[in-house]
Amino acid sequence: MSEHNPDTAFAGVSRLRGRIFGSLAKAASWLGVVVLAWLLFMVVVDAFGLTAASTDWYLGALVGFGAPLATYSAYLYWKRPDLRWIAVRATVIPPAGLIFAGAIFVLFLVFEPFFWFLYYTIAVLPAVAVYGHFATRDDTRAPLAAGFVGVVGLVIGYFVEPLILIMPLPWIMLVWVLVVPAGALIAYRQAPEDRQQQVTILGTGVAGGVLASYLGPALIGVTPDTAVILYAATLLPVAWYNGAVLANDRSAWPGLLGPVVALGAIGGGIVLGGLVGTTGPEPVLDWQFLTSAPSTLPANAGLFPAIVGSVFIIAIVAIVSFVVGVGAAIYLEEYAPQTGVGGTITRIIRVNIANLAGVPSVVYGLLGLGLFVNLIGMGLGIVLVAGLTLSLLILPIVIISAQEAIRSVPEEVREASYGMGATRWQTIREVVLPRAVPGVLTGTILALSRAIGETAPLLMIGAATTVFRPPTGFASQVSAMPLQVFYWSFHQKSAFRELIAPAGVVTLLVVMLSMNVLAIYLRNRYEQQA
Amino acid sequence: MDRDGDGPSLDRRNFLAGVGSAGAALVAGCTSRAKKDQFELEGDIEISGSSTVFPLAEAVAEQFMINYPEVNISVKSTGSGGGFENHFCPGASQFNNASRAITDGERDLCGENGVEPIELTVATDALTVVANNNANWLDCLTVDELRQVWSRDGPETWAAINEDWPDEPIKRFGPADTSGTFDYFREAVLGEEHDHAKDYEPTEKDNLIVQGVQGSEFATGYFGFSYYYNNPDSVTAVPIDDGDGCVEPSVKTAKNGEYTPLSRPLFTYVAKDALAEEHVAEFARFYIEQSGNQELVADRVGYVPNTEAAVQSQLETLEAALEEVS
Amino acid sequence: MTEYFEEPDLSGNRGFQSLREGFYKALFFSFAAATVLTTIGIFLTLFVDALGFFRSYSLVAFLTGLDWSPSLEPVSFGVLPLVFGTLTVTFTAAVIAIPVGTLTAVYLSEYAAARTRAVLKPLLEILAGVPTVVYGFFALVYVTPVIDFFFPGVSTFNVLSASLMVGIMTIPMVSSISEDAMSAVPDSLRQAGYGMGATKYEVTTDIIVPAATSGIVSSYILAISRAIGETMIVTVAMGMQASIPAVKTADVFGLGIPFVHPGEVFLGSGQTMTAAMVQIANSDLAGGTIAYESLFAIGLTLFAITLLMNIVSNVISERYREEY
Repeated sequence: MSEHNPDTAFAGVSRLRGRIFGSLAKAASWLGVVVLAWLLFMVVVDAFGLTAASTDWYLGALVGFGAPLATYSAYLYWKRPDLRWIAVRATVIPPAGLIFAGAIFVLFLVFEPFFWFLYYTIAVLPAVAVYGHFATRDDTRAPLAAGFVGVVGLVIGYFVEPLILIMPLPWIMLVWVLVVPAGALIAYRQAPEDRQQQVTILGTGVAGGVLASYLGPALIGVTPDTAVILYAATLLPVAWYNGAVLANDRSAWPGLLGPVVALGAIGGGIVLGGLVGTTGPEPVLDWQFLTSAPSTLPANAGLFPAIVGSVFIIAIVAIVSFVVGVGAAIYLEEYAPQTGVGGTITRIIRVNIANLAGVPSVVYGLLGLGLFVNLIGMGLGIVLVAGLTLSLLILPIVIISAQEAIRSVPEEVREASYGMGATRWQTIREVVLPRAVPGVLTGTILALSRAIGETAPLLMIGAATTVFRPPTGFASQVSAMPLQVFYWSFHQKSAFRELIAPAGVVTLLVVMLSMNVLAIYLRNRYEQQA
Repeated sequence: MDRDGDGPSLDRRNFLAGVGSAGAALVAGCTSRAKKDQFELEGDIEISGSSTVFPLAEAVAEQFMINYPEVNISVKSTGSGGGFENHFCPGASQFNNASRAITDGERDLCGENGVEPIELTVATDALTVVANNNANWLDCLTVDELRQVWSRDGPETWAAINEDWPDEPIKRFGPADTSGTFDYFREAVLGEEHDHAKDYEPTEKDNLIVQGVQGSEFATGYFGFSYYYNNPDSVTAVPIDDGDGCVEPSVKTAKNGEYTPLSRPLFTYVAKDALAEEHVAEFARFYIEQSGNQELVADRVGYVPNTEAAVQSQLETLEAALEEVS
Repeated sequence: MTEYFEEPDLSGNRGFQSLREGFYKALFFSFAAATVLTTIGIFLTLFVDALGFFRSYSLVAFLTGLDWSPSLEPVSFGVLPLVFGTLTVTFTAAVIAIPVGTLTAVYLSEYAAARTRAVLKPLLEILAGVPTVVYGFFALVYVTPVIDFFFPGVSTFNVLSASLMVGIMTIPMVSSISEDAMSAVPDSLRQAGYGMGATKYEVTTDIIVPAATSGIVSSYILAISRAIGETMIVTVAMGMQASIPAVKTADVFGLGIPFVHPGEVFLGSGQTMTAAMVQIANSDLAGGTIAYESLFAIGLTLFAITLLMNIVSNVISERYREEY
């Protein structure tokens, strides 16, 4: 702007000063990111033993990996730019499905499939059916009726369970519990009106599941159960997406080659690197590491019980902090009086939440120890205590972000709802919450990604140093990923500090980053819609 | 509407056929819900206590669970005293490791809660005094010299202790004052009349002592034998002269009692009533049997294993206790 | 949408509904009130045990003592060495995070293009989201060797590496709140500035930053309070030696100028209040002893300091907020 008055004597000086300031600000903005990138690079190198690989291995791997990827990208870029996002999504779905399959696998490992089968059949399914029955008739009693049926089912299941002496083969139960509902969902979403096509889709999906249970063991040597889980979590979504894309536009098929190319690139990199290279990398972070218990021998060490422990803890934190956090936010935004004595109480609660957000996590650990262990008498270092303590820790963050999301719902829609005679709760449930949910979810996921990395509170509540088995219930002794990393980084044997600890760090970061990416994705979607 | 007219009948036929074949498959694919092998042990065991004994307990637990997959053991490193006070005596853990014998106060505390501790010796630790690999001049320390090095307000330079040594300040690295190793060293070397030096680099992580000593030719430190055993090349162990000549710490010298005064027994305490449960009893037995296992105790963890005779006498103690509870 | 809506309820009989409304209001109020109970719970947990500690150890000696040795005879519970450790870390972190964070906020709010912001902001969020135990591991394993390259002989556990990591970690805390404050400055002020012929630099430094001061300052306070409470980075990377370095005297032109050698402060190990708490909680010290209860005395001190800083930050942002 100063170009307009060149006669100002200091214009030149101030332009230079301005430019320096601008570049300085830019450099500062990237400083933290660059430092983090360097640290991440170092830890990934250690976790995957990349220094062990020779230069020729890298060259080979680069060519093997890069050539297919570059060819495909160039094709998309020049010839079919419209397929870019289809290719990206198609490539992301299979690995995401694999991660999902892993999560299901862990769940079935911890809880017997039979329990899922039983309760799904006599509690969840009837409840869903009842809900659907009422909801299609626009009856507001749907949740109430469904809840009642579900609880009755649970109670019956509890008493019937010991009497049952035979059960279906595990893979059949999995088909029933996983494949059938997934197929039904796809059928409903793909063809909401067309009964005929719904049956076809569901039938094909289930038949595929049965087929998978036979082909899986024969082709890739997994158990029939695992094959069904992989089918339901990975193959089915891939088939769904690809089918939907093709049904929409048959000429879009090159976009669906994305995962094939990615797989080919990885395979090509490994094969060519192995052929050309003298020595390859020596990864610590591999399948064995993720599925083994901790060990006193570095070669056998793994993170499995800690991963499952983290999942258990986060499950509790997610439920408790979401319910209580959103409830509190609703109170503060929708119900809380703003004047008089009630207003003072509201103000106290508000200020208090802001202050709680700043209390050090180690102090929350002492609260957990004093409240849950010493006062209530729960066990030291069990899942429940860890989960509740971390819930208290992130509750203020969840409340604050939920408040923001609820506040961003325009006042007009509330008034419109009241104008139609709706009560306050009806307005909240039918009008406010549906609009605020994306924002609430984003905030909650970000808060959970903080909870998953918290260590100090767990140290305070007496979590075990070494747990060899994943927890089996809420009263089990538990370890968590960050705790395990903490112990490994101080281990007496150098192999644990220099190799195993980085592998744990990378695993923890991958989980945390995935949660962040999910939250950012949700937010961007939401912001675009709004 | 037209489709709706004949759609359902077709659907229903398909549906019935589907249900029928699924039912047949279910009947064909049923299996018995029989419980697991009744003879296999199952249950939870919690172990608390000394961070010194922790690696041994961890290794034994790992080995035990390979044999008995239905037994779940968790091991906590809480310190000997913290373990008695917060875990073992209140009944939260069945085993408490200790790098020293239980005190009368702790025995009383356990007694108040109806917990009777049975003492079992599981290994021997040899505290190791180390020096930098380049410090050739430090070839042996008498107990008195060691005491001077680690006394509070003691000599500041090596030359002040022995004229032949360099006139350089002593750099000390040792365990933090909250650790059992620290207590043991203070008792064994410094005694009642001397205080432990404050001018040293304290840490609870023994590998840091190794790194500290590696950093300077005029540094010294001490820690449990296992750390030296696992990092034998990084630093040099200084032989100790307790009046009978210089003795180097090793599995052999600690076992036959030559390495004094720095070798000490390591214990685990098991709650007597808990032994009534078969998986606890079996683990206790296994723990003692393994305490004589050279591969596990010495090679993997780095302590000095029990002798054959010691294993036998510990087993007898245990069997006597088992007799009483069963 | 529902039966109620289709048939307007003119009878006024809303017994079930008003019961339900009351139930939800009470339920949500209890959730909100639970946060107040949390604060009370924290205070009572800390206070009861800290009281036990102060019964056998004088408050004055605790707050003014220069020697922290909870189990080394003669025991001494002077908290000042720990406070010194905490202040060193906090100060160093602030020296990094405040200028860098402020400049980042300026860049994001005034200079960066929308695309850059879309990339940079999530990255900064990730920077804030990395678990602190991981930062501690980074400090110990990757940062310390770099420091050792420049200052040979740095101890494995040192104050500098931990402080640097705490600084990096707190950058996003400064930048995000400051940026919110700067973005909230209405565009009309910017336009007015440009209209007067001011450069972007002048608009930023003379209009935007002064207008956003309250938000910027409260972001500083929050970041500092976070640095004070940071636990895992200092536990992993900083060591366990609670000490105050000796004050030496330099002879400059015949005048004795007291100074503290920075190498002693930064290149050696130290201990913060939070790290001391972790150490005691996981040590051989038994529950019920005075040494164990000192854990709660430190906790109470820490809680009081962070609470005070949060209140100050709230007051500043409430009272001095410019309303547009």
